Amino acid sequence: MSEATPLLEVLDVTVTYDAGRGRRVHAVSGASFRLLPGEALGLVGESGCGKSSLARAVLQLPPPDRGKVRFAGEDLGRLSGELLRRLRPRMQMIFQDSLASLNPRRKVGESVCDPLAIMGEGDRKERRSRAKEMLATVGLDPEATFHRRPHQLSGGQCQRACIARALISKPELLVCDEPVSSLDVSVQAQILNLLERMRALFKLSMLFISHDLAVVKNVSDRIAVMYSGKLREIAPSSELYGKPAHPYTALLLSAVTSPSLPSFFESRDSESAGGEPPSLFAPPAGCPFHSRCPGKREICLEAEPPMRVVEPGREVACHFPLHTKKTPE
Amino acid sequence: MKSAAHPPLLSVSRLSVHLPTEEGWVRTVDGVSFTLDHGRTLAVVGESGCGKSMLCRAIPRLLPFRARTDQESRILFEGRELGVMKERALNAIRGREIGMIFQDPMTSLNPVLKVGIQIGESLEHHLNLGRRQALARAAKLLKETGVDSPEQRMSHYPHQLSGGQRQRAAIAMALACAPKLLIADEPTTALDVTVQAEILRLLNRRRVQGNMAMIFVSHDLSVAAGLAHEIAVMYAGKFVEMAPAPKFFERARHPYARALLDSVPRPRDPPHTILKEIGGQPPSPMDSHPGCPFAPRCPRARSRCPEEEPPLKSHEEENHQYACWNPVPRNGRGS
Repeated sequence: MSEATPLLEVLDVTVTYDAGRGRRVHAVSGASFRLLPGEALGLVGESGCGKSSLARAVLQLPPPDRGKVRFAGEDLGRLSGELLRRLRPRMQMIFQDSLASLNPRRKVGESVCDPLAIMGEGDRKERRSRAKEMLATVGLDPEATFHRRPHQLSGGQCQRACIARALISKPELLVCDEPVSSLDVSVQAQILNLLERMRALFKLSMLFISHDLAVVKNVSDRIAVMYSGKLREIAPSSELYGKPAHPYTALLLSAVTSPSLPSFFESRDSESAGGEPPSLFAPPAGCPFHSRCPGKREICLEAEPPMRVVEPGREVACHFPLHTKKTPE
Repeated sequence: MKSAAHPPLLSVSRLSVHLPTEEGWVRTVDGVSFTLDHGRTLAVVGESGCGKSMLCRAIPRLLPFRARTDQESRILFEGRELGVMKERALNAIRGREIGMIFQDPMTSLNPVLKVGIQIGESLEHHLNLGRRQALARAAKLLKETGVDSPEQRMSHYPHQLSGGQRQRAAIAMALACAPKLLIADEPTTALDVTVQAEILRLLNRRRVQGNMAMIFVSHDLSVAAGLAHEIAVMYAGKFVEMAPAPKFFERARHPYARALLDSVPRPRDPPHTILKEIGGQPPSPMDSHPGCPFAPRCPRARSRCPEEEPPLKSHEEENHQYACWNPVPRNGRGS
């Protein structure tokens, strides 16, 4: 890794939820990663693997049960409510369902003004003009859009408005939780290009969650793969695609369909590792992926492999990683 | 697609569907024609609102109550005209000879019936099996679709299954009577990629085993690429291009089809590659123009395009049809 100080450092974060009857779900267990200024980190995994829980824990929404989140040198878990609130403008989030994340009864422009009002910046008139500027920056017609209600906008326009609201406080970190998953391909391309432009314009660091691996690769410098609440592999995007080290990453990549890849009915009728992720109530002993892993051996059922560096910049949690140099340092 | 020896399994011609709205009648499917043979897969690709789902529902005549089809619309299934059939006769075909799967199995499964009973129901109804026989067959079907511990799943309610398991149950139900035609409307859109891959393999395996024909609707070109023999691109209620899958992905000629292909991120491209966008918005079904529906957004539009609508027809090759006055050059990529 380079010497630059990370903007975000996540250390051994664990998130659990009360599931009633005294049971707890381990949504995230011991996740650690860092994010450099201006870097985009993709987070992939199947639904229910804890991607969103991890992203929310980073923003202290709610704070994690265990572990540390350091943002710009501050340990967020130790900050008082007021100090944390003052840091919030610097870390913002956008969601999959953009329509649901805008107040249906308020004008879109007012929602975009809100962060400024909460931060106590400028007077009403100034906030409005900055909101209109921001709407224009994200490619919306500022005058017309300002006075619309969310339901009068298309899905793509709603997501643009959400991006405007997130960026108006000039954040350094933008967390994107499946921002293009419910959009049509042509609109998806528009929003991905917009995020790319905004990343350069505002020098944003991004944590980008998606289940679509092609989308994640388009956005991210590095990709973290999550399975059953645990990070299993972190690697630069191109290397992850070229030579996945964790068998689960390989399984995910084998499921990617693309016009440029061979058809199912021609060459790939072999049965894949079927099955489903293990229960989060009672995680099994050993590696959580062992029930689906084609290359499992005895040790995989007994000892859980920790995340370890196998190559500079590459971490993987597997006893028998694929495609990496034989003797890891 | 065409074979002289026997008539096609399904032949749809000039199918138009009109829906009533507050602002008047809207044409959601507009003069669609195609044929489909036994054992073949047609993928219909297009963005939301293009009329894909209405097309799916029009074939087994499952349209919303007040929807209307045109006089000249014909839907011939094994030579029988579904358009003039009585409801009773149609019910003998739906679920027996034409199976359907929808995007959201949570809404297509009955939430208050156990999964096993639901699958068995169509066997009892169509094949006159007794309850016990039907349940035994249902368990077998669940097993074949890859549901784990099928015996236990039989007595579960839909909400007790995961999304992937639910869709498998819905597939088991659709395939219960070994239909000749399966209509699948975005069956994997709500699922994870790994589950999606398994479902696609499963559908393909069943297609091969039963010589079943399939209409597969998706907004995702890459999914269609892996599964279909033929691709049809739908825009504003019309098929604008239709071609065998390999040919389509190699050289789509309609500018909209080409733009759709180019706007998807490709796994081989490096990070931060800027994608090709399609400017503008899809047309509202309310406004009607005389010309090509894609003309206002089309980078290749000429003066003729907004004036006169190009017909969908074959040009150089018989099985490659497109509706465009100024198609993308054969060897050209994009506009």
